Amino acid sequence: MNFLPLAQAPSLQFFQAPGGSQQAYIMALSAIFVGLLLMVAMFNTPIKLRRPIIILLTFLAGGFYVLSWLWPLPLGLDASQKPLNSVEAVSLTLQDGTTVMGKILQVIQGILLFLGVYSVLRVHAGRFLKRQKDWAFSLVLLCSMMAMITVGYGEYIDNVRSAGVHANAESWTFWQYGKDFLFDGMLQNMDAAMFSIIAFFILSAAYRAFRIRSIESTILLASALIMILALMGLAEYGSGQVIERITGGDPSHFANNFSLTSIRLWIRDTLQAPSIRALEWGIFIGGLAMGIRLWLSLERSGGGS
Amino acid sequence: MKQPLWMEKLQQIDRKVLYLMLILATAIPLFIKGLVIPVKIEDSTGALFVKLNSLPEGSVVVIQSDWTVSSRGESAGQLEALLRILRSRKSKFVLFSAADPQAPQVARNVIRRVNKEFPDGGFKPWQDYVDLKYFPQAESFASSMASDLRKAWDRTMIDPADGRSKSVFESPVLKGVRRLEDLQLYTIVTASGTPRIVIQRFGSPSRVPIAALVTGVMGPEHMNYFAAGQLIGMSNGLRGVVELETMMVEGVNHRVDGKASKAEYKRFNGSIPPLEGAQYKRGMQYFASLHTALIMLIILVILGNMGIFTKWFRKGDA
Repeated sequence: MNFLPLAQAPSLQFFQAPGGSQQAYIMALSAIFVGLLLMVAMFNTPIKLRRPIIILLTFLAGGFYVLSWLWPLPLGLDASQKPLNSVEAVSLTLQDGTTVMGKILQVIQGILLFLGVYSVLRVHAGRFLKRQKDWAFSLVLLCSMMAMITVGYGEYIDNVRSAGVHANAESWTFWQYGKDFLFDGMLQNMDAAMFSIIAFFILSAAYRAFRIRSIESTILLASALIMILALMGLAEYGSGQVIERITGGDPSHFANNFSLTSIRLWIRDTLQAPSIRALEWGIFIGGLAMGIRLWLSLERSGGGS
Repeated sequence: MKQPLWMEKLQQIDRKVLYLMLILATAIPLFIKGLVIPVKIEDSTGALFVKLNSLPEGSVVVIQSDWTVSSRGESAGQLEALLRILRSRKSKFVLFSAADPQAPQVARNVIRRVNKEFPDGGFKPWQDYVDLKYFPQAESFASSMASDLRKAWDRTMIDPADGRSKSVFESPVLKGVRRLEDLQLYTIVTASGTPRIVIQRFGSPSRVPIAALVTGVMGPEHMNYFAAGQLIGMSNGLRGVVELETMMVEGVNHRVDGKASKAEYKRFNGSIPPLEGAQYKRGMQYFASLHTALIMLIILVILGNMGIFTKWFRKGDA
């Protein structure tokens, strides 16, 4: 098979359209229509056939990445250069396909987001309409969501139509003020406030639960104390000054090993970093095994039996 | 033997009192202006600063901003410091996020804030930076960048000169950029594990130097990548921000009248003078609060263990 024409094919311009243009809207609507058609087709596929289709698609999608990982890649070769043989041509084709696959995955992620929004709407609209328990919270959620969606899209469309004229705060319209109020004024501050609460819980939990009842917990407490002290620039600086007085500034003096910095670095580089490396090693080996099982649809969640 | 009443009370402080103490301990230092706390420069932060200061004028740097306001205390200071250094180097940058849809807007707000510090208005969109917004699916996006940057970044942006939407590759920022090798530095400001994803997809050795500015929680995990040379520099948490600000204000290994430098990076042979007009900002402002909060944490843990300490001492007496 001659892969050369594939590798030298010009980049696809079909899917590219300026944002906010008529062409872009037509293409987006066409894509939604085709997507819906595919969904309808999938819904009408006999149940027995559905699983093999999913298994096949999973295998092909995973296979692409496995192949692009294993296929020899000529050093320094990129899509603008000419391949010398079929191995290089396949390599270039795979490289070229990576961006297409990436965009397909981005679209899937978008569909997942849409499904999530749809699910939230369905659950909370149902709870509100049936006046189920805590329906008032559902109403607040629905109103907040609608306000953010309306203002978000309003601002986006306004920005596209005005070609960036509203970039400066002096020329803002209702949409920019709305987004600023809802996103910067409310959402961000609520988000930050929620996470800052963690500090209170940590403090309270450390006070109540951190007890040195065994040797292990004593070692843990001592090393945590050193790391906490070392986080404080002032403590580290102070300990450095004390050690410097003892050593007289001699970098080869034995007492240098007992500065807060030296102890902290020893804990971090000798104990902590290798432990994290070992943990990650185990996690990624597990991830690799899991990936193979999902790719081959051996997992129940991956369409396997 | 029963503990004295005061000791029992110290071990049963009501949590509302603890919360009030924490509020005061973290809030009061924020009102003390001009506080400068000395800090030792870590190798990882020193290497990042030296790399940033070696960028030639007009160089193109990537800022992958993968944080939201939940980590504002650390990440906002890191992005601000990074932007100030890039401005001093007259570098251009590409901004996007691959972790959170909220992240690009959060980063834009920081850029807007930092721009106010410069009399000329700071970074101008299209001229000095391009905003590629959000790319979902960090893994596949990083793979796409590694294989074909132009296709991965094929987005449009409005050119303020004529109000027309154009490909970002027509902008002065990305005009000469075709591949990863054309970028001078790839920075990731993050509260998650996205540097690992980029390192894995770009391969090793990477075709572009990668640097990470991570939160304190993510620091130890990423230290391995710095030790392995896969990250050329790294700023770790709030302390990293303070280190960057110190180097900006004091310079690196910079001696005035023969006095010892306040920001020493021993692995660096040369010296870097202070950045023009640099001041201690958000990092140093929060650093004092971090100190008081941590001191409070240490004291409370000691108080919580008072009973056990006294038991030990009594055993010793017997």
